[in-house]
Amino acid sequence: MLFTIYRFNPETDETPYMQEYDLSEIKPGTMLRDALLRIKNEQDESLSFRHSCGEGVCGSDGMNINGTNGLACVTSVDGLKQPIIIRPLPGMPVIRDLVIDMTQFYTQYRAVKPWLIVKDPIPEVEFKQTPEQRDKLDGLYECILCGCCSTACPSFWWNPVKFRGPAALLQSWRFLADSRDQATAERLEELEGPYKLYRCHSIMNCVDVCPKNLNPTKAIGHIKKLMLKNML
Amino acid sequence: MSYQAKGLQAWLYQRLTGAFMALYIVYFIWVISFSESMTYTLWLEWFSHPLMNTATGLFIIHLAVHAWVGMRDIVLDYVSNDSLRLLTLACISFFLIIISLGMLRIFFSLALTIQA
Repeated sequence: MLFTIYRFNPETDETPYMQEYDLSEIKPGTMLRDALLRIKNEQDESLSFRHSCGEGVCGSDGMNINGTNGLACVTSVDGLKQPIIIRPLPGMPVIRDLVIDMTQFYTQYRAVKPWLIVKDPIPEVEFKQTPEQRDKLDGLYECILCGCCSTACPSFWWNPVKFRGPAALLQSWRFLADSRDQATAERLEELEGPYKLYRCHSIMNCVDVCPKNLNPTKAIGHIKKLMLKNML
Repeated sequence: MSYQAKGLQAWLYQRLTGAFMALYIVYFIWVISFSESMTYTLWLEWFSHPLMNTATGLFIIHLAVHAWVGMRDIVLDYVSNDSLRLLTLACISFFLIIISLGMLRIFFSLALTIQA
Protein backbone atom coordinates (compact mmCIF):
# COMPACT_ATOMS: atom_id res chain seq x y z
CA MET A 1 0.00 0.00 0.00
CA LEU A 2 1.39 3.36 -1.09
CA PHE A 3 1.54 6.45 1.08
CA THR A 4 2.61 9.99 0.16
CA ILE A 5 3.27 11.96 3.30
CA TYR A 6 4.02 15.65 3.85
CA ARG A 7 7.43 16.09 5.47
CA PHE A 8 8.98 19.18 6.96
CA ASN A 9 11.65 19.55 9.60
CA PRO A 10 12.36 23.25 10.20
CA GLU A 11 15.85 22.41 11.45
CA THR A 12 17.02 20.71 8.26
CA ASP A 13 14.53 21.48 5.46
CA GLU A 14 14.11 24.76 3.68
CA THR A 15 10.80 23.80 2.14
CA PRO A 16 8.28 21.04 2.79
CA TYR A 17 8.31 18.01 0.48
CA MET A 18 6.22 14.89 -0.09
CA GLN A 19 7.79 11.54 0.75
CA GLU A 20 6.60 8.15 -0.48
CA TYR A 21 6.36 5.00 1.59
CA ASP A 22 5.35 1.51 0.59
CA LEU A 23 3.83 -0.67 3.28
CA SER A 24 3.10 -4.36 2.68
CA GLU A 25 1.00 -6.95 4.49
CA ILE A 26 -1.69 -4.61 5.70
CA LYS A 27 -4.56 -6.48 7.29
CA PRO A 28 -8.08 -5.48 6.21
CA GLY A 29 -9.64 -3.01 8.62
CA THR A 30 -6.33 -1.46 9.63
CA MET A 31 -6.75 2.09 10.78
CA LEU A 32 -4.60 4.80 9.24
CA ARG A 33 -3.01 5.61 12.60
CA ASP A 34 -1.75 2.02 12.91
CA ALA A 35 -0.37 2.15 9.37
CA LEU A 36 1.47 5.39 10.19
CA LEU A 37 2.85 3.83 13.37
CA ARG A 38 4.12 0.90 11.33
CA ILE A 39 5.85 3.27 8.91
CA LYS A 40 7.41 5.05 11.87
CA ASN A 41 8.53 1.83 13.56
CA GLU A 42 9.64 -0.10 10.49
CA GLN A 43 10.79 2.44 7.94
CA ASP A 44 11.36 5.98 9.13
CA GLU A 45 11.47 6.88 12.79
CA SER A 46 11.81 10.59 11.99
CA LEU A 47 8.15 10.76 10.81
CA SER A 48 6.28 12.90 13.34
CA PHE A 49 2.57 13.02 14.10
CA ARG A 50 0.40 13.40 17.18
CA HIS A 51 -1.71 10.52 18.46
CA SER A 52 -2.88 9.20 21.78
CA CYS A 53 -6.03 7.22 22.53
CA GLY A 54 -6.37 5.51 19.16
CA GLU A 55 -10.17 5.39 19.25
CA GLY A 56 -11.46 8.82 18.27
CA VAL A 57 -11.82 10.18 21.79
CA CYS A 58 -8.78 12.40 22.38
CA GLY A 59 -8.76 14.21 19.03
CA SER A 60 -4.96 14.27 18.70
CA ASP A 61 -4.46 12.78 15.27
CA GLY A 62 -6.46 15.12 13.06
CA MET A 63 -4.86 15.27 9.62
CA ASN A 64 -5.69 15.83 5.99
CA ILE A 65 -6.27 12.43 4.38
CA ASN A 66 -6.62 12.40 0.57
CA GLY A 67 -7.78 16.01 0.75
CA THR A 68 -10.31 15.59 3.55
CA ASN A 69 -9.70 16.31 7.21
CA GLY A 70 -10.25 13.43 9.57
CA LEU A 71 -8.93 11.44 12.50
CA ALA A 72 -6.33 8.84 11.45
CA CYS A 73 -7.35 6.49 14.26
CA VAL A 74 -10.94 6.07 13.09
CA THR A 75 -10.22 6.12 9.35
CA SER A 76 -9.80 2.66 7.84
CA VAL A 77 -7.19 2.42 5.07
CA ASP A 78 -9.40 -0.02 3.15
CA GLY A 79 -11.60 2.49 1.41
CA LEU A 80 -8.88 5.05 0.70
CA LYS A 81 -7.65 5.73 -2.83
CA GLN A 82 -3.94 4.99 -3.33
CA PRO A 83 -1.45 6.49 -2.94
CA ILE A 84 -2.91 7.75 0.32
CA ILE A 85 -1.88 11.39 0.47
CA ILE A 86 -1.45 12.66 4.01
CA ARG A 87 -0.89 16.30 4.89
CA PRO A 88 -1.14 18.30 8.12
CA LEU A 89 -4.47 20.05 8.83
CA PRO A 90 -4.58 22.96 6.37
CA GLY A 91 -4.15 26.64 7.15
CA MET A 92 -2.18 26.22 10.38
CA PRO A 93 1.55 26.74 11.01
CA VAL A 94 3.46 23.46 10.75
CA ILE A 95 5.79 22.58 13.62
CA ARG A 96 7.08 19.42 12.01
CA ASP A 97 5.69 16.92 9.50
CA LEU A 98 2.04 16.37 10.46
CA VAL A 99 2.29 18.26 13.75
CA ILE A 100 0.65 21.70 13.59
CA ASP A 101 0.61 24.66 15.94
CA MET A 102 -2.93 24.77 17.38
CA THR A 103 -2.45 28.04 19.31
CA GLN A 104 -4.82 30.06 17.13
CA PHE A 105 -7.48 27.38 17.42
CA TYR A 106 -7.27 27.34 21.22
CA THR A 107 -7.21 31.15 21.41
CA GLN A 108 -10.55 31.24 19.59
CA TYR A 109 -11.90 28.45 21.77
CA ARG A 110 -10.90 30.31 24.95
CA ALA A 111 -12.48 33.52 23.63
CA VAL A 112 -16.02 32.08 23.72
CA LYS A 113 -15.61 31.35 27.45
CA PRO A 114 -16.40 27.64 27.24
CA TRP A 115 -17.54 27.24 30.81
CA LEU A 116 -20.74 27.83 32.79
CA ILE A 117 -21.21 31.40 33.94
CA VAL A 118 -23.61 31.56 36.87
CA LYS A 119 -24.52 34.79 38.64
CA ASP A 120 -26.94 33.46 41.27
CA PRO A 121 -25.46 31.86 44.36
CA ILE A 122 -24.25 28.39 43.38
CA PRO A 123 -26.61 25.67 44.71
CA GLU A 124 -25.31 23.66 47.62
CA VAL A 125 -25.88 20.26 46.09
CA GLU A 126 -26.13 20.32 42.33
CA PHE A 127 -27.54 22.20 39.36
CA LYS A 128 -30.81 20.66 38.26
CA GLN A 129 -32.02 20.27 34.71
CA THR A 130 -35.11 18.66 33.24
CA PRO A 131 -34.44 15.86 30.74
CA GLU A 132 -35.64 18.24 27.98
CA GLN A 133 -33.14 20.91 29.01
CA ARG A 134 -30.40 18.31 29.06
CA ASP A 135 -31.39 17.06 25.59
CA LYS A 136 -30.53 20.45 24.14
CA LEU A 137 -26.86 19.78 24.81
CA ASP A 138 -26.78 16.61 22.73
CA GLY A 139 -24.76 17.07 19.57
CA LEU A 140 -22.84 19.92 21.23
CA TYR A 141 -20.97 18.59 24.24
CA GLU A 142 -19.41 15.68 22.29
CA CYS A 143 -16.83 17.90 20.55
CA ILE A 144 -13.27 16.64 21.15
CA LEU A 145 -11.50 19.74 19.78
CA CYS A 146 -9.56 17.85 17.14
CA GLY A 147 -9.61 20.92 14.90
CA CYS A 148 -10.78 19.10 11.76
CA CYS A 149 -13.73 21.47 11.28
CA SER A 150 -12.06 24.85 11.82
CA THR A 151 -9.10 23.94 9.62
CA ALA A 152 -11.49 22.84 6.85
CA CYS A 153 -13.36 26.16 6.96
CA PRO A 154 -12.44 28.69 4.23
CA SER A 155 -13.69 31.53 6.43
CA PHE A 156 -11.27 30.40 9.14
CA TRP A 157 -8.43 30.21 6.60
CA TRP A 158 -9.05 33.82 5.51
CA ASN A 159 -9.65 35.31 8.97
CA PRO A 160 -8.14 32.98 11.60
CA VAL A 161 -7.51 35.84 14.01
CA LYS A 162 -10.93 37.49 13.80
CA PHE A 163 -13.34 34.66 12.98
CA ARG A 164 -14.02 32.30 15.88
CA GLY A 165 -14.31 29.23 13.65
CA PRO A 166 -16.84 26.38 13.74
CA ALA A 167 -15.37 24.53 16.73
CA ALA A 168 -15.42 27.58 19.02
CA LEU A 169 -18.88 28.64 17.81
CA LEU A 170 -20.27 25.15 18.44
CA GLN A 171 -19.03 25.49 22.01
CA SER A 172 -20.44 28.98 22.24
CA TRP A 173 -23.88 27.59 21.39
CA ARG A 174 -23.33 24.69 23.79
CA PHE A 175 -23.25 27.22 26.63
CA LEU A 176 -25.91 29.52 25.18
CA ALA A 177 -28.23 26.51 24.98
CA ASP A 178 -27.46 25.43 28.54
CA SER A 179 -30.34 26.14 30.91
CA ARG A 180 -27.87 26.69 33.77
CA ASP A 181 -25.84 29.39 32.05
CA GLN A 182 -26.73 32.98 32.89
CA ALA A 183 -24.51 34.97 30.56
CA THR A 184 -26.57 34.83 27.35
CA ALA A 185 -26.54 38.59 26.78
CA GLU A 186 -22.79 38.91 27.36
CA ARG A 187 -22.02 35.95 25.14
CA LEU A 188 -24.13 37.34 22.29
CA GLU A 189 -22.67 40.82 22.75
CA GLU A 190 -19.17 39.36 22.49
CA LEU A 191 -20.01 37.74 19.15
CA GLU A 192 -21.33 40.94 17.54
CA GLY A 193 -19.59 42.58 14.64
CA PRO A 194 -18.89 41.44 11.11
CA TYR A 195 -16.12 38.96 11.96
CA LYS A 196 -16.46 36.73 15.01
CA LEU A 197 -19.69 34.99 14.03
CA TYR A 198 -20.80 36.43 10.72
CA ARG A 199 -17.83 35.26 8.64
CA CYS A 200 -19.69 31.95 8.55
CA HIS A 201 -21.38 31.65 5.15
CA SER A 202 -22.80 28.15 5.77
CA ILE A 203 -20.18 26.50 3.57
CA MET A 204 -20.64 23.39 5.74
CA ASN A 205 -17.17 21.90 5.30
CA CYS A 206 -17.22 21.61 9.10
CA VAL A 207 -20.27 19.33 9.01
CA ASP A 208 -18.72 17.30 6.23
CA VAL A 209 -15.48 16.51 8.06
CA CYS A 210 -16.51 16.27 11.74
CA PRO A 211 -15.40 12.81 12.94
CA LYS A 212 -18.04 12.94 15.69
CA ASN A 213 -20.83 13.80 13.20
CA LEU A 214 -21.61 17.10 14.88
CA ASN A 215 -23.16 20.07 13.09
CA PRO A 216 -21.45 23.41 13.79
CA THR A 217 -23.34 25.13 10.94
CA LYS A 218 -26.64 24.34 12.63
CA ALA A 219 -25.29 25.62 15.97
CA ILE A 220 -24.18 28.86 14.28
CA GLY A 221 -27.68 29.18 12.78
CA HIS A 222 -29.12 28.85 16.29
CA ILE A 223 -26.83 31.61 17.57
CA LYS A 224 -27.93 33.91 14.73
CA LYS A 225 -31.59 33.16 15.46
CA LEU A 226 -31.11 33.84 19.16
CA MET A 227 -29.38 37.15 18.36
CA LEU A 228 -32.29 38.13 16.15
CA LYS A 229 -34.80 37.14 18.82
CA ASN A 230 -32.95 39.20 21.43
CA MET A 231 -32.84 42.21 19.10
CA LEU A 232 -36.59 42.08 18.49
CA MET B 1 -24.51 51.29 6.04
CA SER B 2 -20.99 51.78 7.27
CA TYR B 3 -17.98 49.50 7.01
CA GLN B 4 -18.53 48.78 10.70
CA ALA B 5 -22.19 47.84 10.16
CA LYS B 6 -22.84 45.32 12.86
CA GLY B 7 -22.81 41.68 11.90
CA LEU B 8 -26.41 40.95 12.79
CA GLN B 9 -27.74 44.07 11.05
CA ALA B 10 -25.88 43.35 7.82
CA TRP B 11 -26.95 39.72 7.90
CA LEU B 12 -30.58 40.71 8.50
CA TYR B 13 -30.58 43.41 5.78
CA GLN B 14 -29.19 40.92 3.31
CA ARG B 15 -32.00 38.46 4.02
CA LEU B 16 -34.82 41.01 4.09
CA THR B 17 -33.72 42.73 0.89
CA GLY B 18 -33.20 39.33 -0.72
CA ALA B 19 -36.74 38.25 0.18
CA PHE B 20 -38.23 41.49 -1.13
CA MET B 21 -36.30 41.28 -4.39
CA ALA B 22 -37.27 37.63 -4.88
CA LEU B 23 -40.96 38.56 -4.58
CA TYR B 24 -40.53 41.51 -6.94
CA ILE B 25 -38.69 39.44 -9.55
CA VAL B 26 -41.24 36.62 -9.44
CA TYR B 27 -44.09 39.14 -9.86
CA PHE B 28 -42.18 40.93 -12.64
CA ILE B 29 -41.51 37.75 -14.62
CA TRP B 30 -45.05 36.55 -14.04
CA VAL B 31 -46.54 39.76 -15.49
CA ILE B 32 -44.10 39.79 -18.44
CA SER B 33 -44.74 36.18 -19.39
CA PHE B 34 -48.53 36.28 -19.05
CA SER B 35 -49.28 39.60 -20.70
CA GLU B 36 -50.42 39.06 -24.27
CA SER B 37 -48.76 42.03 -25.87
CA MET B 38 -46.59 44.34 -23.82
CA THR B 39 -46.55 47.70 -25.54
CA TYR B 40 -44.75 50.85 -24.42
CA THR B 41 -48.05 52.44 -23.37
CA LEU B 42 -49.04 49.40 -21.33
CA TRP B 43 -45.57 49.33 -19.82
CA LEU B 44 -45.86 53.01 -18.80
CA GLU B 45 -49.30 52.40 -17.39
CA TRP B 46 -48.04 49.44 -15.37
CA PHE B 47 -45.12 51.36 -13.93
CA SER B 48 -47.20 54.44 -13.18
CA HIS B 49 -49.36 52.50 -10.74
CA PRO B 50 -48.44 53.84 -7.28
CA LEU B 51 -47.75 50.36 -5.87
CA MET B 52 -45.53 49.29 -8.79
CA ASN B 53 -43.87 52.69 -8.70
CA THR B 54 -43.01 52.44 -5.03
CA ALA B 55 -41.99 48.79 -5.32
CA THR B 56 -39.58 49.53 -8.15
CA GLY B 57 -38.04 52.47 -6.29
CA LEU B 58 -37.61 50.20 -3.26
CA PHE B 59 -36.20 47.46 -5.45
CA ILE B 60 -33.40 49.74 -6.62
CA ILE B 61 -32.50 50.69 -3.06
CA HIS B 62 -32.77 47.09 -1.86
CA LEU B 63 -30.52 45.98 -4.69
CA ALA B 64 -27.83 48.45 -3.61
CA VAL B 65 -28.03 47.38 0.06
CA HIS B 66 -28.02 43.70 -0.84
CA ALA B 67 -25.07 44.11 -3.17
CA TRP B 68 -23.21 46.13 -0.55
CA VAL B 69 -23.51 43.43 2.11
CA GLY B 70 -22.55 40.70 -0.36
CA MET B 71 -19.58 42.58 -1.77
CA ARG B 72 -18.45 43.57 1.72
CA ASP B 73 -18.53 39.89 2.72
CA ILE B 74 -16.38 38.95 -0.26
CA VAL B 75 -13.89 41.75 0.42
CA LEU B 76 -13.66 40.93 4.15
CA ASP B 77 -12.89 37.33 3.20
CA TYR B 78 -10.46 37.75 0.34
CA VAL B 79 -8.75 41.12 0.72
CA SER B 80 -6.49 40.83 3.75
CA ASN B 81 -4.40 43.97 3.35
CA ASP B 82 -6.07 46.72 5.43
CA SER B 83 -5.50 49.71 3.17
CA LEU B 84 -6.34 47.74 0.04
CA ARG B 85 -9.49 46.53 1.78
CA LEU B 86 -10.55 50.07 2.64
CA LEU B 87 -9.85 51.21 -0.93
CA THR B 88 -11.85 48.31 -2.41
CA LEU B 89 -14.78 48.96 -0.08
CA ALA B 90 -14.71 52.69 -0.91
CA CYS B 91 -14.70 51.92 -4.66
CA ILE B 92 -17.59 49.47 -4.28
CA SER B 93 -19.73 51.86 -2.24
CA PHE B 94 -18.98 54.71 -4.69
CA PHE B 95 -19.94 52.47 -7.61
CA LEU B 96 -23.14 51.26 -5.90
CA ILE B 97 -24.23 54.79 -4.95
CA ILE B 98 -23.64 56.11 -8.46
CA ILE B 99 -25.38 53.15 -10.10
CA SER B 100 -28.44 53.31 -7.85
CA LEU B 101 -28.72 57.10 -8.10
CA GLY B 102 -28.53 56.73 -11.87
CA MET B 103 -31.22 54.05 -11.84
CA LEU B 104 -33.45 56.15 -9.59
CA ARG B 105 -32.95 59.15 -11.86
CA ILE B 106 -33.99 57.19 -14.95
CA PHE B 107 -36.90 55.72 -13.05
CA PHE B 108 -38.19 59.08 -11.79
CA SER B 109 -37.76 60.74 -15.16
CA LEU B 110 -39.96 57.92 -16.44
CA ALA B 111 -42.49 58.69 -13.71
CA LEU B 112 -42.43 62.35 -14.77
CA THR B 113 -43.02 61.35 -18.42
CA ILE B 114 -46.11 59.48 -17.31
CA GLN B 115 -47.49 62.43 -15.37
CA ALA B 116 -46.78 64.86 -18.23
